[in-house]
Amino acid sequence: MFGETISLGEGLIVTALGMSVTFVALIVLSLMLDLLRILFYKEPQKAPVQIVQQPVAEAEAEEDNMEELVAVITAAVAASLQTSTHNIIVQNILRVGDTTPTWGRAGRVEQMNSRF
Amino acid sequence: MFLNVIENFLSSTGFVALTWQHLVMLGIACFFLYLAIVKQYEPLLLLPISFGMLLTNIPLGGLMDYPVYEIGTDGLPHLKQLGGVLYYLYQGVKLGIFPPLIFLGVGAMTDFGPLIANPRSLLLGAAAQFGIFTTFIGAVALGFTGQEAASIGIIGGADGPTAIFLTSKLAPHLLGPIAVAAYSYMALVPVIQPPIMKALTTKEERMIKMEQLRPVTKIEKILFPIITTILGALLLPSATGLLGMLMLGNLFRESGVVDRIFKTAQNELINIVTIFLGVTVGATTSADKFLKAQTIMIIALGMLAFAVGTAAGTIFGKIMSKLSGGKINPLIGSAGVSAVPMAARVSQVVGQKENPSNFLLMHAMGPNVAGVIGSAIAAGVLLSIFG
Repeated sequence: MFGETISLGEGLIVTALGMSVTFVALIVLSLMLDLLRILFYKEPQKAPVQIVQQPVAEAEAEEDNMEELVAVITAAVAASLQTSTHNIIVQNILRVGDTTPTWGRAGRVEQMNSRF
Repeated sequence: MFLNVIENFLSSTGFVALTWQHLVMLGIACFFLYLAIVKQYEPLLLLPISFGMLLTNIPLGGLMDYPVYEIGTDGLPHLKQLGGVLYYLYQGVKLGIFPPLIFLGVGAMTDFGPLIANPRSLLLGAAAQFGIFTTFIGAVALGFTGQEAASIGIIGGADGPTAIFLTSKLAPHLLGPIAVAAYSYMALVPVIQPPIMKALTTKEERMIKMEQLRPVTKIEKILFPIITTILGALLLPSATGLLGMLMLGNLFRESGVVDRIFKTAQNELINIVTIFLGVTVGATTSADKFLKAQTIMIIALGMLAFAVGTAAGTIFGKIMSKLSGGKINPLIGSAGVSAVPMAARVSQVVGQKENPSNFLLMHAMGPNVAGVIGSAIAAGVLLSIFG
């Protein structure tokens, strides 16, 4: 299309052509993706935001990583409710006292150890 | 007699043929080896490239020598002397075989999900290609020919295989400097991009949080590579080689029925081809071709290409941010300059500096993979004009 050396004007033509082809190609692709979405994607039913207040047994925690602990407990609650963390709001975390008698706990530990 | 043997041996060593140009090149090779090993700048490519550079600049090694033919008495050429081993491996670059194979592996490694979930990010991938064409004009102004200028501009695509592919077709004599510039700047993306991104955006814009991407269905992921290949290749037949192989690799991944070849494409195959590509591209940087004023211009223009690409992407991100009413963080625009996944990681890091609870990585992956498609298309345009 051009000779060995090209002038700045010709360079501008190449730039205009190149950028417009690139844009057109990618715009066509993005419209095609919109079409795919309309054809094949169904919006999942939004789960209503539920407020769960659930007592959670909790291990001894250091004061300085409480935030991390809250995040972990939130994630665990969400997982056990089979929903996303976006749908639950943690308001309060209560420590539940362990009511298992000492002998019961010792038996459980022994059971667990024997499996390793 | 004995002295003669020693004298003969000494004159056959490389030391006798060593020139200062060779020494300079060996020094540069060692410097790049240092960057690859100690600084870990793109070591998977920089290490083979710099060692190739070292090998080719050892005089009398003959690794890149052409085979020698002589016309026999029957009038046909007969092989007189075999070429060097790297010469034969280099044919994969010269004939345009290796870059599409690399793209096959890249396709197998790439998840186009974020792009399918947010199709508008394709526009950012297109905007960032502006760097290619600005640099092209800059190179024309500096007196490079059209073919050379196109090859230099493609450095702004921030995509090694694309740059090598286009250069090997248009201006093979510049392959060494262009490949070295492209890969060095890709490694320097975390250094080059953040100042430009910060200069062009306000603090509020950088703090924008984006909505979570929608999940993408399997059928969309399978149809995407097929439709992209058909549309892209029809529009720009010269981009079929790169685009087609990229999408084939991706179809291996998403179809889920060819697990074995999917694994090979994204591991063994791409690794083997990367070794060959790296060493032989490095081996094109012989002293007589590399130590030229042109090389310095190419390195400077490459920097311009990256900077303009980043700026164009960020500015386009700003425009889209305004148009969407502040739903798009302009920082993801800079990821449009391919360099997967480094550029997306830069968007994430810069965004998180303003707002530690902001996670832009997946949003930036959209423009990032769109940039790969964009630079393949830009390369196709340049190839069809100058090829």
